[in-house]
Amino acid sequence: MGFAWYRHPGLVVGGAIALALMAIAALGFVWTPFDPTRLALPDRLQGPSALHWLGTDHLGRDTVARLMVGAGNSLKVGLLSVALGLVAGTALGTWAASRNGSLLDEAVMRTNDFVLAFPAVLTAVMMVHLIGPGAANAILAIAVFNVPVFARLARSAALQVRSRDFVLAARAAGLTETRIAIAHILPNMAGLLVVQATIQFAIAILAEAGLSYLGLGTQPPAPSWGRMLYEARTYMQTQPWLAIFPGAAIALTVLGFNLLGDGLRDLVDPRARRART
Amino acid sequence: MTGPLLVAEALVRRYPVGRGGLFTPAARVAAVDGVDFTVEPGVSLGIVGESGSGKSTLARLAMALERPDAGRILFRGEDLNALSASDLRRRRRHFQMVFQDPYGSLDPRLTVERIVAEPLTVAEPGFDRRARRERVLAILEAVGLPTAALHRYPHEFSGGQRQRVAIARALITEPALVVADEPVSALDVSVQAQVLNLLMDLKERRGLTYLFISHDLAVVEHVADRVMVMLRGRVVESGPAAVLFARPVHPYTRALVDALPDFDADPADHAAGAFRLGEPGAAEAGACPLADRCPRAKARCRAEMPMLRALADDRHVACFEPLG
Repeated sequence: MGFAWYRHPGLVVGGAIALALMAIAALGFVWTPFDPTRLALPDRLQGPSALHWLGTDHLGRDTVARLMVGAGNSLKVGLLSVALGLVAGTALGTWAASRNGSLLDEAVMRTNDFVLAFPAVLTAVMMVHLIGPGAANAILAIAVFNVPVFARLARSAALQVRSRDFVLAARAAGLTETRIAIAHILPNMAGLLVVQATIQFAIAILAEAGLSYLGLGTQPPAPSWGRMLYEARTYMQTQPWLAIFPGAAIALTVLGFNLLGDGLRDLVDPRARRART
Repeated sequence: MTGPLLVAEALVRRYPVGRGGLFTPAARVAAVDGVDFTVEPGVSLGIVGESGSGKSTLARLAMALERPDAGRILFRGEDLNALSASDLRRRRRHFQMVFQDPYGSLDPRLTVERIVAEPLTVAEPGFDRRARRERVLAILEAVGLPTAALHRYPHEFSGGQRQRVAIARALITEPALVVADEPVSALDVSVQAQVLNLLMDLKERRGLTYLFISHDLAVVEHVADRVMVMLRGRVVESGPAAVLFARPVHPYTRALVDALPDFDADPADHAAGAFRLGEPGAAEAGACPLADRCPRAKARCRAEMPMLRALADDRHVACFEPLG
């Protein structure tokens, strides 16, 4: 009954990218080849070399060091914004499902539709304009458009789980509704939520890069991939690697988490599972 | 303990059909339409009827998992739906339920130990882990499951074994009443008999009383002391199991009894002598629920709803043209 890795190339590749990224970010916390914020104007705009593996930027800062710390920054923003959206959205969706068809359910879900009607990054940009730029506000803004995604998923999953007999059996055993939700409903929808969280994670990282590019996210001198892209735009013709490396980092990360999410979805989807066994 | 265990008084439960308009409520159909019954301690009641007759709704009403639109359900004299939510939860240890589908009624993410112990965590929250495990092991043994089942998950068991797990769960709080809604109909025929025998055995040894629901007369005949036959949400005949099966008075009961295979009779004779119903048509309001397919139906049957009346031998029937 072993797990056949070769049947899930996307899952394997995506998982490897995600793991590698986490390892790089973790290393970035304790060690980088250079201080990522140290200015060295004589060394500015160097191409890749033995000393600066991926070159230096317009202020002479080492690109490898900035990418490593930027990875940690991206992961932190992704993790916190998705976690916030997941917790709030799941609570809302499960709550709405427990009052299926009520006015409250309608109100929650129509508000969801309203938020979902706006493009995610646009919502985040508007939010940050309202509450002010900064890494913490970027996390909050990205979390806001994650909430309805999880609320909608959690509601439909909770409705499905609630219709199963074991929920009725738990009620017959005398459990309170809160305990039924925690002990039976949440664990049975956890798989779906984890899959969605992985995909939202990729979107969140992209959104953070976008916000930082616009100067609304992580503030300088803290390194972030989006900010690096922004600073590289003047040198696109002469020093293209300045844009290529952070751009590739963003693309690879988003690709990795999307592959991971799709692979996990195949694993969790009961129809796919039945087809394999 | 004196007095009846469970009493249903004029229970009505209606469900909406369709959605209705903005100002007009959805039309509603009565799944259970004025049902009375009494379950005395030690006298198991079987409820028989075809699908759609309201049996399962009745089971959920009896378990206070749904509220009736009218009528009351009394457990040991207390109106369950008049109790506060926490009082009702506290009473639940005394009446437990076995569900039809052992694939759906056990949470796939929990071990057998947690599934079986769950009602106990409500009934006796003070129990420590070890005492709880002792109780689980004792009840697993009583339903014929090995100790090794403790740490396994529902999907590792067959349908019959899962239903044993469900029975163990229902019995762990030592209830007086067990409501069993089609407990064997989802199982292979070869396994049905084993589970039925287990239920009968447990009834003897633990002094249980069942409210046993089935579409299968042969199954009810085994378990029930009294039988109630339902049709389209109403009771058409009730009485002691032996009398009812030997001499059914209502045409619907007769048709059910005649549909049972008789291994002593010549199959041809059995089929020729059988009482048969016509094809079901549309149910009409204010008519006998069987009027559309009863060969004995007269004009009155189509114009008036027959009420349940008492017969001499401790039974009741709702029919204008009962069989002699």
